[in-house]
Amino acid sequence: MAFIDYYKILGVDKNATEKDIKNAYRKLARKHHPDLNPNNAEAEKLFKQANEANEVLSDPEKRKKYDKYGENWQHSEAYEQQARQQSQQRSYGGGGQQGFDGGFGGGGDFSDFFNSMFGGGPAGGGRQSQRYRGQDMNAKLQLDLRDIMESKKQTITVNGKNIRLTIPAGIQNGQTIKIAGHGGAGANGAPAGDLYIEFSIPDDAEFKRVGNDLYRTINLDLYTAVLGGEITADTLTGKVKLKVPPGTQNNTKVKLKGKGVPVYKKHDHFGDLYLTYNVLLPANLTPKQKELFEELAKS
Amino acid sequence: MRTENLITVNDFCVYHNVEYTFVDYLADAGLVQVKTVNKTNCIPIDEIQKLERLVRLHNELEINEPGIATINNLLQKLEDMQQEMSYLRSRLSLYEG
Repeated sequence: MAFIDYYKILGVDKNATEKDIKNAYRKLARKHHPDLNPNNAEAEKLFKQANEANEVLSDPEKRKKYDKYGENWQHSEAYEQQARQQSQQRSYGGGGQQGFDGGFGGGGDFSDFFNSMFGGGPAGGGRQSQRYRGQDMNAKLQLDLRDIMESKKQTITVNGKNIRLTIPAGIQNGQTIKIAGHGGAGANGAPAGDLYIEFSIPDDAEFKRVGNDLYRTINLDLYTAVLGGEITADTLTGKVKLKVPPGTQNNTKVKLKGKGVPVYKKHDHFGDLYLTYNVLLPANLTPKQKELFEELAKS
Repeated sequence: MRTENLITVNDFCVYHNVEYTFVDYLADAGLVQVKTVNKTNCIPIDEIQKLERLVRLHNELEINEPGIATINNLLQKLEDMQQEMSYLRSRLSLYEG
Protein backbone atom coordinates (compact mmCIF):
# COMPACT_ATOMS: atom_id res chain seq x y z
CA MET A 1 0.00 0.00 0.00
CA ALA A 2 1.65 3.23 -1.12
CA PHE A 3 1.42 6.71 0.34
CA ILE A 4 -0.96 8.96 -1.62
CA ASP A 5 -0.10 12.60 -2.04
CA TYR A 6 -3.52 14.24 -1.82
CA TYR A 7 -2.08 17.71 -2.36
CA LYS A 8 -0.54 16.57 -5.60
CA ILE A 9 -3.83 15.00 -6.73
CA LEU A 10 -5.68 18.29 -6.20
CA GLY A 11 -2.75 20.29 -7.58
CA VAL A 12 -2.45 22.54 -4.49
CA ASP A 13 0.44 23.19 -2.10
CA LYS A 14 0.53 22.28 1.57
CA ASN A 15 -0.40 25.80 2.64
CA ALA A 16 -3.58 25.80 0.54
CA THR A 17 -6.60 27.35 2.22
CA GLU A 18 -9.97 25.62 2.47
CA LYS A 19 -11.14 27.80 -0.37
CA ASP A 20 -8.16 26.78 -2.56
CA ILE A 21 -8.92 23.13 -1.87
CA LYS A 22 -12.60 23.53 -2.59
CA ASN A 23 -11.87 25.32 -5.87
CA ALA A 24 -9.27 22.76 -6.94
CA TYR A 25 -11.62 19.88 -6.16
CA ARG A 26 -14.52 21.55 -7.95
CA LYS A 27 -12.36 22.06 -11.04
CA LEU A 28 -11.28 18.40 -11.11
CA ALA A 29 -14.76 17.09 -10.30
CA ARG A 30 -16.26 19.04 -13.20
CA LYS A 31 -13.56 17.72 -15.50
CA HIS A 32 -13.73 14.05 -14.53
CA HIS A 33 -17.30 13.54 -13.28
CA PRO A 34 -18.58 10.18 -14.60
CA ASP A 35 -21.80 11.76 -15.88
CA LEU A 36 -19.73 14.03 -18.08
CA ASN A 37 -17.45 11.20 -19.19
CA PRO A 38 -19.71 8.21 -19.81
CA ASN A 39 -17.90 4.86 -20.23
CA ASN A 40 -14.54 6.46 -19.45
CA ALA A 41 -12.83 4.34 -16.81
CA GLU A 42 -9.81 6.66 -16.60
CA ALA A 43 -12.01 9.68 -15.84
CA GLU A 44 -13.88 7.67 -13.20
CA LYS A 45 -10.58 6.73 -11.56
CA LEU A 46 -9.40 10.35 -11.51
CA PHE A 47 -12.76 11.47 -10.13
CA LYS A 48 -12.53 8.96 -7.29
CA GLN A 49 -8.97 10.09 -6.51
CA ALA A 50 -10.09 13.72 -6.38
CA ASN A 51 -13.04 12.75 -4.16
CA GLU A 52 -10.76 10.97 -1.75
CA ALA A 53 -8.27 13.85 -1.66
CA ASN A 54 -11.11 16.27 -1.01
CA GLU A 55 -12.55 14.05 1.70
CA VAL A 56 -9.26 14.29 3.59
CA LEU A 57 -8.12 17.83 2.87
CA SER A 58 -11.51 19.52 3.30
CA ASP A 59 -11.94 18.00 6.77
CA PRO A 60 -9.72 19.93 9.23
CA GLU A 61 -9.23 16.92 11.54
CA LYS A 62 -8.37 14.51 8.76
CA ARG A 63 -6.08 17.03 7.15
CA LYS A 64 -4.32 17.62 10.45
CA LYS A 65 -3.70 13.92 10.89
CA TYR A 66 -2.61 13.50 7.29
CA ASP A 67 -0.21 16.46 7.54
CA LYS A 68 1.16 15.25 10.85
CA TYR A 69 2.17 11.80 9.74
CA GLY A 70 2.57 12.19 5.99
CA GLU A 71 4.69 9.37 4.66
CA ASN A 72 4.94 7.85 8.16
CA TRP A 73 1.21 7.18 8.07
CA GLN A 74 1.76 3.48 8.76
CA HIS A 75 2.81 4.33 12.32
CA SER A 76 0.11 6.92 12.85
CA GLU A 77 -2.14 4.66 14.91
CA ALA A 78 0.69 3.77 17.30
CA TYR A 79 1.63 7.44 17.72
CA GLU A 80 -2.00 8.36 18.30
CA GLN A 81 -2.39 5.74 20.98
CA GLN A 82 0.72 6.91 22.75
CA ALA A 83 -0.46 10.51 22.62
CA ARG A 84 -3.86 9.52 24.00
CA GLN A 85 -2.29 7.71 26.91
CA GLN A 86 -0.15 10.71 27.71
CA SER A 87 -2.79 13.38 27.52
CA GLN A 88 -5.85 11.31 28.45
CA GLN A 89 -7.72 13.36 25.91
CA ARG A 90 -9.59 12.37 22.86
CA SER A 91 -7.79 13.26 19.71
CA TYR A 92 -10.67 13.88 17.39
CA GLY A 93 -13.65 16.17 17.40
CA GLY A 94 -16.42 16.35 14.84
CA GLY A 95 -15.39 18.38 11.87
CA GLY A 96 -17.96 19.59 9.40
CA GLN A 97 -17.86 18.72 5.75
CA GLN A 98 -16.57 21.48 3.55
CA GLY A 99 -17.32 21.87 -0.11
CA PHE A 100 -19.82 19.60 -1.72
CA ASP A 101 -20.55 15.94 -1.19
CA GLY A 102 -18.57 13.37 -3.07
CA GLY A 103 -21.75 11.51 -3.71
CA PHE A 104 -21.20 9.77 -7.03
CA GLY A 105 -20.28 6.25 -6.08
CA GLY A 106 -18.14 7.70 -3.35
CA GLY A 107 -19.21 5.86 -0.24
CA GLY A 108 -16.92 3.04 0.78
CA ASP A 109 -14.95 3.33 -2.43
CA PHE A 110 -11.78 4.88 -1.12
CA SER A 111 -8.25 3.52 -1.37
CA ASP A 112 -6.66 1.09 1.07
CA PHE A 113 -4.40 3.94 2.13
CA PHE A 114 -7.43 6.03 3.12
CA ASN A 115 -9.10 3.16 4.95
CA SER A 116 -5.92 2.32 6.77
CA MET A 117 -5.36 5.88 7.94
CA PHE A 118 -8.92 7.00 8.62
CA GLY A 119 -10.59 3.69 9.33
CA GLY A 120 -13.12 3.17 6.61
CA GLY A 121 -15.33 5.20 4.34
CA PRO A 122 -16.32 8.81 4.57
CA ALA A 123 -18.60 8.29 7.53
CA GLY A 124 -15.62 7.23 9.68
CA GLY A 125 -13.15 9.35 11.60
CA GLY A 126 -15.65 10.83 14.04
CA ARG A 127 -17.42 12.96 11.49
CA GLN A 128 -21.14 13.48 11.34
CA SER A 129 -22.84 10.62 9.43
CA GLN A 130 -23.89 11.45 5.92
CA ARG A 131 -26.01 9.77 3.31
CA TYR A 132 -23.94 8.26 0.55
CA ARG A 133 -25.50 6.69 -2.46
CA GLY A 134 -24.26 3.13 -3.04
CA GLN A 135 -21.51 2.46 -5.48
CA ASP A 136 -22.44 1.92 -9.11
CA MET A 137 -21.35 -1.45 -10.40
CA ASN A 138 -20.41 -2.62 -13.86
CA ALA A 139 -20.82 -6.01 -15.46
CA LYS A 140 -20.18 -7.35 -18.94
CA LEU A 141 -22.40 -9.77 -20.77
CA GLN A 142 -21.39 -11.47 -24.00
CA LEU A 143 -24.06 -12.32 -26.53
CA ASP A 144 -24.04 -13.99 -29.90
CA LEU A 145 -25.30 -12.00 -32.87
CA ARG A 146 -28.01 -14.62 -33.24
CA ASP A 147 -29.13 -13.97 -29.63
CA ILE A 148 -30.20 -10.44 -30.35
CA MET A 149 -32.68 -11.16 -33.14
CA GLU A 150 -35.47 -11.31 -30.56
CA SER A 151 -35.97 -9.71 -27.16
CA LYS A 152 -35.26 -12.26 -24.49
CA LYS A 153 -35.43 -12.60 -20.76
CA GLN A 154 -32.30 -13.70 -18.98
CA THR A 155 -31.29 -14.16 -15.37
CA ILE A 156 -27.78 -13.12 -14.45
CA THR A 157 -25.98 -13.47 -11.15
CA VAL A 158 -24.09 -10.45 -9.85
CA ASN A 159 -22.43 -10.65 -6.43
CA GLY A 160 -24.55 -13.65 -5.50
CA LYS A 161 -27.82 -11.93 -6.39
CA ASN A 162 -29.98 -13.18 -9.26
CA ILE A 163 -31.20 -10.38 -11.48
CA ARG A 164 -33.81 -10.99 -14.11
CA LEU A 165 -33.56 -8.69 -17.10
CA THR A 166 -35.05 -8.33 -20.53
CA ILE A 167 -32.50 -7.84 -23.28
CA PRO A 168 -34.17 -5.86 -26.06
CA ALA A 169 -33.72 -7.17 -29.60
CA GLY A 170 -31.19 -5.26 -31.68
CA ILE A 171 -28.94 -4.20 -28.82
CA GLN A 172 -25.60 -2.91 -30.09
CA ASN A 173 -22.11 -4.13 -29.32
CA GLY A 174 -20.75 -1.98 -26.47
CA GLN A 175 -24.20 -0.69 -25.49
CA THR A 176 -24.83 -0.36 -21.77
CA ILE A 177 -28.12 -0.72 -19.96
CA LYS A 178 -28.77 0.40 -16.41
CA ILE A 179 -30.52 -1.72 -13.81
CA ALA A 180 -31.48 0.85 -11.22
CA GLY A 181 -30.90 0.04 -7.57
CA HIS A 182 -28.90 -3.16 -8.14
CA GLY A 183 -25.46 -1.66 -7.40
CA GLY A 184 -23.79 -1.41 -4.00
CA ALA A 185 -25.91 -0.69 -0.92
CA GLY A 186 -26.20 2.94 0.18
CA ALA A 187 -24.89 4.22 3.51
CA ASN A 188 -27.12 5.67 6.23
CA GLY A 189 -30.35 5.11 4.36
CA ALA A 190 -29.17 6.50 1.03
CA PRO A 191 -30.33 4.72 -2.12
CA ALA A 192 -28.36 1.81 -3.57
CA GLY A 193 -26.19 2.40 -6.61
CA ASP A 194 -27.06 1.16 -10.06
CA LEU A 195 -25.81 -1.78 -12.04
CA TYR A 196 -24.55 -1.05 -15.54
CA ILE A 197 -24.39 -4.00 -17.90
CA GLU A 198 -22.29 -3.60 -21.01
CA PHE A 199 -23.10 -5.94 -23.87
CA SER A 200 -20.36 -7.42 -25.96
CA ILE A 201 -21.43 -8.92 -29.28
CA PRO A 202 -18.41 -10.34 -31.12
CA ASP A 203 -18.35 -10.46 -34.90
CA ASP A 204 -20.16 -13.44 -36.38
CA ALA A 205 -18.20 -15.80 -38.63
CA GLU A 206 -20.71 -15.44 -41.47
CA PHE A 207 -22.59 -12.20 -40.94
CA LYS A 208 -20.99 -8.82 -40.51
CA ARG A 209 -23.09 -6.22 -38.74
CA VAL A 210 -23.00 -2.51 -39.57
CA GLY A 211 -25.61 -0.65 -37.55
CA ASN A 212 -28.78 -2.62 -38.16
CA ASP A 213 -27.68 -3.96 -41.53
CA LEU A 214 -26.00 -7.29 -42.12
CA TYR A 215 -23.45 -8.17 -44.79
CA ARG A 216 -22.64 -11.66 -45.97
CA THR A 217 -20.69 -13.15 -48.85
CA ILE A 218 -22.07 -16.31 -50.44
CA ASN A 219 -20.53 -18.56 -53.03
CA LEU A 220 -22.19 -18.98 -56.40
CA ASP A 221 -21.15 -21.64 -58.86
CA LEU A 222 -20.07 -20.50 -62.31
CA TYR A 223 -22.90 -22.24 -64.14
CA THR A 224 -25.65 -20.58 -62.07
CA ALA A 225 -23.90 -17.22 -62.44
CA VAL A 226 -23.68 -17.61 -66.22
CA LEU A 227 -26.98 -19.31 -66.94
CA GLY A 228 -29.08 -18.01 -64.04
CA GLY A 229 -31.06 -20.14 -61.62
CA GLU A 230 -32.39 -20.38 -58.11
CA ILE A 231 -30.39 -20.68 -54.91
CA THR A 232 -31.18 -20.95 -51.22
CA ALA A 233 -29.37 -18.59 -48.84
CA ASP A 234 -29.25 -18.60 -45.04
CA THR A 235 -30.30 -15.47 -43.17
CA LEU A 236 -30.41 -15.01 -39.41
CA THR A 237 -34.16 -15.62 -39.51
CA GLY A 238 -34.19 -18.68 -41.75
CA LYS A 239 -33.55 -19.70 -45.32
CA VAL A 240 -34.67 -17.65 -48.34
CA LYS A 241 -34.92 -18.59 -52.00
CA LEU A 242 -33.29 -16.22 -54.46
CA LYS A 243 -33.47 -15.95 -58.21
CA VAL A 244 -30.09 -15.42 -59.82
CA PRO A 245 -30.37 -13.69 -63.20
CA PRO A 246 -28.25 -15.03 -66.10
CA GLY A 247 -24.91 -13.27 -66.47
CA THR A 248 -24.51 -12.40 -62.79
CA GLN A 249 -21.05 -10.92 -62.22
CA ASN A 250 -18.67 -11.70 -59.39
CA ASN A 251 -19.12 -9.32 -56.41
CA THR A 252 -22.71 -8.50 -57.37
CA LYS A 253 -24.60 -7.24 -54.30
CA VAL A 254 -28.20 -8.16 -53.54
CA LYS A 255 -30.27 -6.39 -50.89
CA LEU A 256 -32.78 -8.38 -48.86
CA LYS A 257 -35.00 -5.79 -47.29
CA GLY A 258 -35.92 -6.34 -43.65
CA LYS A 259 -33.60 -9.34 -43.21
CA GLY A 260 -31.12 -7.47 -41.04
CA VAL A 261 -31.07 -6.91 -37.29
CA PRO A 262 -34.19 -5.63 -35.47
CA VAL A 263 -34.00 -1.90 -34.75
CA TYR A 264 -33.46 -1.37 -31.01
CA LYS A 265 -36.76 -0.72 -29.23
CA LYS A 266 -38.63 -0.15 -32.50
CA HIS A 267 -41.12 -2.90 -32.92
CA ASP A 268 -41.32 -4.37 -36.45
CA HIS A 269 -38.42 -2.29 -37.78
CA PHE A 270 -35.48 -4.18 -39.21
CA GLY A 271 -32.27 -3.43 -41.04
CA ASP A 272 -31.42 -5.04 -44.38
CA LEU A 273 -29.22 -7.95 -45.40
CA TYR A 274 -26.72 -7.40 -48.21
CA LEU A 275 -25.46 -10.51 -49.96
CA THR A 276 -22.36 -10.39 -52.12
CA TYR A 277 -21.97 -13.16 -54.69
CA ASN A 278 -18.57 -14.77 -54.87
CA VAL A 279 -18.54 -16.63 -58.19
CA LEU A 280 -16.51 -19.82 -57.91
CA LEU A 281 -14.56 -20.97 -60.93
CA PRO A 282 -14.43 -24.75 -61.41
CA ALA A 283 -11.09 -26.33 -60.50
CA ASN A 284 -9.66 -29.75 -61.52
CA LEU A 285 -11.44 -29.88 -64.86
CA THR A 286 -11.92 -33.28 -66.48
CA PRO A 287 -10.52 -33.59 -70.05
CA LYS A 288 -14.08 -33.40 -71.39
CA GLN A 289 -14.84 -30.18 -69.44
CA LYS A 290 -11.57 -28.68 -70.59
CA GLU A 291 -12.46 -29.48 -74.17
CA LEU A 292 -15.86 -27.84 -73.79
CA PHE A 293 -14.29 -24.70 -72.29
CA GLU A 294 -11.85 -24.54 -75.18
CA GLU A 295 -14.75 -24.75 -77.58
CA LEU A 296 -16.47 -21.97 -75.71
CA ALA A 297 -13.35 -19.85 -75.87
CA LYS A 298 -13.19 -20.26 -79.65
CA SER A 299 -16.86 -19.44 -80.21
CA MET B 1 -50.50 5.50 -19.56
CA ARG B 2 -50.79 3.33 -16.46
CA THR B 3 -50.23 5.25 -13.25
CA GLU B 4 -47.80 2.62 -11.87
CA ASN B 5 -45.33 3.77 -14.53
CA LEU B 6 -45.26 7.26 -13.04
CA ILE B 7 -43.56 8.82 -10.03
CA THR B 8 -44.91 12.07 -8.65
CA VAL B 9 -42.61 15.07 -8.98
CA ASN B 10 -43.12 15.67 -5.28
CA ASP B 11 -41.89 12.19 -4.31
CA PHE B 12 -38.91 12.52 -6.60
CA CYS B 13 -37.95 15.89 -5.12
CA VAL B 14 -38.22 14.66 -1.54
CA TYR B 15 -36.20 11.53 -2.29
CA HIS B 16 -33.42 13.39 -4.08
CA ASN B 17 -33.59 16.52 -1.97
CA VAL B 18 -34.11 18.89 -4.90
CA GLU B 19 -36.49 21.79 -5.25
CA TYR B 20 -39.72 21.43 -7.15
CA THR B 21 -38.75 24.42 -9.31
CA PHE B 22 -35.64 22.54 -10.45
CA VAL B 23 -37.73 19.81 -12.09
CA ASP B 24 -40.11 22.49 -13.38
CA TYR B 25 -37.23 24.28 -15.09
CA LEU B 26 -35.96 21.08 -16.71
CA ALA B 27 -39.47 20.27 -17.94
CA ASP B 28 -39.91 23.78 -19.37
CA ALA B 29 -36.54 23.47 -21.10
CA GLY B 30 -37.69 20.18 -22.65
CA LEU B 31 -35.01 18.16 -20.88
CA VAL B 32 -37.48 15.87 -19.12
CA GLN B 33 -41.07 14.95 -19.71
CA VAL B 34 -43.60 15.68 -16.99
CA LYS B 35 -47.17 14.40 -17.24
CA THR B 36 -50.17 15.62 -15.32
CA VAL B 37 -52.43 12.87 -13.99
CA ASN B 38 -55.37 13.82 -11.75
CA LYS B 39 -53.92 17.33 -11.38
CA THR B 40 -50.63 15.84 -10.06
CA ASN B 41 -47.39 16.32 -11.93
CA CYS B 42 -45.66 13.01 -12.54
CA ILE B 43 -42.49 11.75 -14.18
CA PRO B 44 -42.63 8.64 -16.39
CA ILE B 45 -40.21 6.04 -14.99
CA ASP B 46 -38.28 5.82 -18.23
CA GLU B 47 -37.34 9.49 -17.71
CA ILE B 48 -35.97 8.89 -14.21
CA GLN B 49 -32.51 7.74 -15.25
CA LYS B 50 -32.00 10.91 -17.31
CA LEU B 51 -33.42 13.10 -14.55
CA GLU B 52 -31.21 11.50 -11.91
CA ARG B 53 -28.16 12.27 -14.02
CA LEU B 54 -29.21 15.92 -14.20
CA VAL B 55 -29.80 15.99 -10.44
CA ARG B 56 -26.28 14.64 -9.86
CA LEU B 57 -24.81 17.37 -12.04
CA HIS B 58 -26.79 19.93 -10.06
CA ASN B 59 -26.03 18.58 -6.59
CA GLU B 60 -22.53 17.24 -6.95
CA LEU B 61 -21.05 19.82 -9.30
CA GLU B 62 -23.14 22.81 -8.27
CA ILE B 63 -24.18 23.47 -11.83
CA ASN B 64 -27.18 25.72 -12.26
CA GLU B 65 -30.16 24.97 -14.50
CA PRO B 66 -28.99 26.81 -17.65
CA GLY B 67 -25.59 25.11 -17.25
CA ILE B 68 -27.27 21.72 -17.06
CA ALA B 69 -29.25 22.43 -20.22
CA THR B 70 -26.03 23.36 -22.04
CA ILE B 71 -24.14 20.31 -20.76
CA ASN B 72 -27.00 18.02 -21.66
CA ASN B 73 -27.08 19.42 -25.16
CA LEU B 74 -23.32 18.96 -25.60
CA LEU B 75 -23.40 15.44 -24.16
CA GLN B 76 -26.15 14.53 -26.60
CA LYS B 77 -24.07 15.86 -29.49
CA LEU B 78 -21.05 13.92 -28.21
CA GLU B 79 -23.07 10.71 -28.00
CA ASP B 80 -24.47 11.23 -31.52
CA MET B 81 -20.97 11.78 -32.87
CA GLN B 82 -19.62 8.71 -31.08
CA GLN B 83 -22.40 6.61 -32.56
CA GLU B 84 -21.75 8.02 -36.01
CA MET B 85 -18.03 7.38 -35.65
CA SER B 86 -18.71 3.80 -34.58
CA TYR B 87 -21.01 3.31 -37.58
CA LEU B 88 -18.45 4.80 -39.98
CA ARG B 89 -15.69 2.62 -38.50
CA SER B 90 -17.82 -0.46 -39.15
CA ARG B 91 -18.45 0.71 -42.72
CA LEU B 92 -14.75 1.32 -43.24
CA SER B 93 -13.86 -2.14 -41.98
CA LEU B 94 -16.01 -3.59 -44.78
CA TYR B 95 -13.68 -2.04 -47.35
CA GLU B 96 -10.48 -2.71 -45.46
CA GLY B 97 -11.33 -6.41 -45.37
